[in-house]
Formats: sequence, C-alpha cells, structure tokens
Amino acid sequence: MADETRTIKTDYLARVEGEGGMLIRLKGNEIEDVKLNIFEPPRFFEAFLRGRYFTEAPDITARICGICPVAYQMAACNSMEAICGVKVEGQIKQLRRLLYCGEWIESHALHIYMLHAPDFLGYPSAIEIAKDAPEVVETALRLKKVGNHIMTVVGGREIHPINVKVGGFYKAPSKAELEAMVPDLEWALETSLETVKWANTLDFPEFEMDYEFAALDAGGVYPIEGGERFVSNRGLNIPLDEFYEHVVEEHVEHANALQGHLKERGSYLTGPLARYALWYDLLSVEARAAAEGVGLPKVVKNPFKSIIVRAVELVEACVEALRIISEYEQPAESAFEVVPKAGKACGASEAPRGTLCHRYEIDDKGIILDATITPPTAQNQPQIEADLRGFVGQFMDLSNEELTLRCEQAIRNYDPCISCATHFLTLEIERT
Amino acid sequence: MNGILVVGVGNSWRGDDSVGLEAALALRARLPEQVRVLATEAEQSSLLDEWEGCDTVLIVDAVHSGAAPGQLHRVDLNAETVPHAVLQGSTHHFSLGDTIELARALKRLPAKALFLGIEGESFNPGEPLSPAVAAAVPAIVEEIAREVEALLQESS
Repeated sequence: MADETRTIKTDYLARVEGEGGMLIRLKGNEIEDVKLNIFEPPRFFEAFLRGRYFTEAPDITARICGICPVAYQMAACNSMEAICGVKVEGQIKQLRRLLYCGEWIESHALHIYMLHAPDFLGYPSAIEIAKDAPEVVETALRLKKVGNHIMTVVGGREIHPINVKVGGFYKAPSKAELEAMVPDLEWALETSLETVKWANTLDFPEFEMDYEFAALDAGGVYPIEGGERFVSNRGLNIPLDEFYEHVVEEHVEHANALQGHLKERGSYLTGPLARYALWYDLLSVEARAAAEGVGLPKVVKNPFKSIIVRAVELVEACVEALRIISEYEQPAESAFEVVPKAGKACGASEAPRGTLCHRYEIDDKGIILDATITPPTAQNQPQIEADLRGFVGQFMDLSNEELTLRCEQAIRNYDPCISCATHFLTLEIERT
Repeated sequence: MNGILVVGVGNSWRGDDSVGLEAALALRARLPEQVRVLATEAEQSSLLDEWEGCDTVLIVDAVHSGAAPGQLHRVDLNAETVPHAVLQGSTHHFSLGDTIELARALKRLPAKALFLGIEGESFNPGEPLSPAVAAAVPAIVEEIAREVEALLQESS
C-alpha cells in the first residue's frame, strides 16, 4: 500500500549504556520521522561543578560514566592544565596513555563481544552466546580483565580510578608493577589480532554513509589521552579552544541530551571509524597489518564494520600499552605542580566511543565558575539518526521485525553511552 | 574443601544499596578467618574470577521487590534464577543478575551458590541506610554467619 503507515519502534534499547529508545515512522515509502529517544533523566553535572575547586573536576566527572571514567578524568585534567599553563609530558603523559589503553581494552572488548556481537550472531545477549559458544564470552571476559587490571595498577581501581589528579598521578607505579602485566598484555595482543580476523567473518549489510569524520589531532600519535586540535576530513581544523565556535549543541524535544552538530555542515561522526579514517597512518605496524590482513580499507564508511575497526583499535591499545611499559621509568615526581590561574580553556580526550570535550572557567583561587561537557554520544546523536534514515531508506523491504533488529544494531554501531550524554538539560522555570 | 566465599556487593553512595557491603563488613568481623569475605563495588563480571575454585559462594546484595524493608530473600542459584523484579539490572557493565546467568551459562557457578537479597527501602544518592534496613542488619548477619558456620562444620 502506497500510504500504509509503518512504525518501527523499540521502547527500551538493550545492550547500550543508559536508557533510551528508538522510533521510526514510515508512510508508504516516505520516512516521516526518525528519533533516538533519550529518556534517561538529566544529571546536572555541569551545575554540580560550579563552585568546586578545580582539582575536584577529574574525580567528579569520572562519576559520569562507569565505562569511560578515564576519558572524563583526562579531559578534565587537560582543560585545567591548559588554563593554568602546565604541559604534562614525559613519563607522566605516557602513564596517562597507558591508563587510557586499559579503558580502551576494557570498553572495546565489552562492546565487541558482549554488546555488539549478539546482533551479528543472532542472539539476544552475550548470556545466550555463552551457552552455545562459551569460548567467545570467555575471551571477552579475559580481555576485559586485562584492561581492568591496567586501570587498577595505574589508576588505583578498575572503575572510577582514584590515582588521577590534575598534573599527573598521586603515585606513579613502579616499573616492576607494570612489567608484571606484560604476559597478560602479550596474550591480549595475540587475542586482539584474532579478534580482527573473527570480526571480519561476520555478515555486514551493504550500506555506506558519506561521513564527516572528526577526531582529535594529537600531534603525530594516534589520538587517545588528549589532543590540541579538532579536525575532520572536510577541512575542519581548529584549535581545541574554538570547539564551541564550531560545534553547536541543541536541545530537541525527544532527548534529555543536547545534540551536537557542526555549525557549518551539520551532523558528523566521532569515534573509532573517525579516528581510523583520519589517523590510519599513525597506527602501529601491528594494527595496520591486522587491518590490511583482512582487507580493511583505510577509510571505512560502512558503520556496521565499526566492530572490525574497534578490534583494530584493540590491537593498537595492546601494542601501545606494551610499548609504554617497555620504555617506562618511574618518574621522581608523580605529578607536575599546577597552580590555579584565572582563565578558561577546553580540554579533550578520545573516549572509546569518540571525542569528549570539556571546557572550564576558573577564578584565580581555582574555583570553577563555569563548566561545559560535550560527550561523544551527544555529538553522534544526529549522525545516528541520519544513519537510521539512510538505512531504512535503503532496506525498506525488510519485515518490521528484521528492520527493528537492524536499526537497533545500527544504533549499537556507535557504542552509545546514553548516561554520558544526558547530563545536559536546559531547565526553564516558568512562573506566572 | 576449596573454601567458602562470602561476597557483599552494592554502592556505598546509594542509601540501602550499601547494605550488602555493610553486611559483608560485619560478617568479616564475625566469621573465622578461613572464610574469605569480600565487600566490593567493582565491576561485577569480575566476581566470576573471585569465586573461581570455591565450593560455595554466598552473595549478599540489596534488592527491591516491594517486600517489607529488611526482609531477607534466599535464592539457591543452582536450582533457580534470581527473579528480574528482585534484582534490577545495573546500566554499567554487567549487572549482578547478568553475572550470575553468565556464570551459569559458562558452568562457572560454584557447586553451592546462594543469593541472599536484603530488601531495601530507599536508594537515594548520598543517604545512609534507612532505619528499617539498618535495624534488620544484625539479625541478618547472624543468620548468614550461622549458615556459614554450619557449612564449615559440614565440610570438616
């Protein structure tokens, strides 16, 4: 029927972090509406931060997310250090990168095997995979454990690390403590290489989007723990402090999260596909060889193949962790001294799911006057909706059931972290 | 005899959600040293490794099912699953319910596995245990301690 109305709807998305749903309305062959609904209640973190001391930001913002607390800590530290004119370098910077590798390993392993794989293998969850293919889930658990262990050794504990401070760490680990992780990391590297091959055997819909990919520019290394500029494949190349001159955030009715888009061009993609496309040449020899080995092109435009790219980044995180440990020498001081200075600056890092930007303004006593946090899922929301439009337009002939499953999978391509995205809400109080 | 693990889980910042941790701390003081007692807020799939090699695990956590605050729910995990309504999922990582089901699927549940859920009343951030739940803790700790002692006797 030409004008038959179809509704593709998921009230409560499984296997994503946080609470969200999806609604797609079709009339005949016309897409009337596509919405990623985010109904997780707002969390007001930016308001909590006002009036707090500048050194509290890493620990307060780490609580935004249990999956990517290091991303928050690093972005907060980078921003505060930029305001105070301190550049963290040397072993302390490398330790930060190592800690962050732990988070990438833990988060990417979780997403690849436990959250995304069920879509490709036709299971409702990892628990059902465990019944039929326990080795897949055991691999995921062991990989996650390697990542968690790095977080514990470097960060003090595996969730919401307690050893991170503005300027560096409370206590830098010894070389021996790090070297004890090497056998596990070597296993993780081998397993990550296998993961790339395994991910490449999955079935992918023939679907591509013409993305604007955006990620941090970390000045000659694959961006993880920070970066000075925010760049894209369409000519965006700005110092981080101009982030909010180009990225506009809007409140839409169906989401308790602001949607970020580029003022000049609209939606863009941040995360593994973007980092990989922009910085392929900066990947380690091992990671590039893994990608080449499965015939993965240097730019991947099929969002479903993000699972392979995530696996390549898993390889990268293991290689980097091993490199940092082998080159590590325990520093005499665990942190740089940071004296508060009145000012305002942006700081960012590459969370497993994309660029996370913080901007703080502090006074000369170090009191936070203003805070803005833009997580990757907020930036990716418009692009997720664009992917859904594109996908539904191309695969309209699928049954409602199949289309629903594929659309959910399309959302999970982004490893969205809805809890992270929902700490914004412009609250308007009307008084009459 | 490879030992008994008592594990209390929860979130120390969310009112009655901390009762599993509180109970574990009280049990650690009450039980003989040979019983390993863990109070953890860590990522829950790590529990699979914690109880690896144990014959018996007792998991203590807060639950929210609408029963009277402080009521103790017992579930023999090798005979039944924890009802979802009793143990709602965490949005971070794997919930305790998922972890238990994952362990079952991977055949990594100890031979004896008991879930002891303490009914909570209020899970508001930053609050202490509610009076009704706090009042119930000593008797619940004593009940769990006696059960562990009986298991120790059985195995000796």
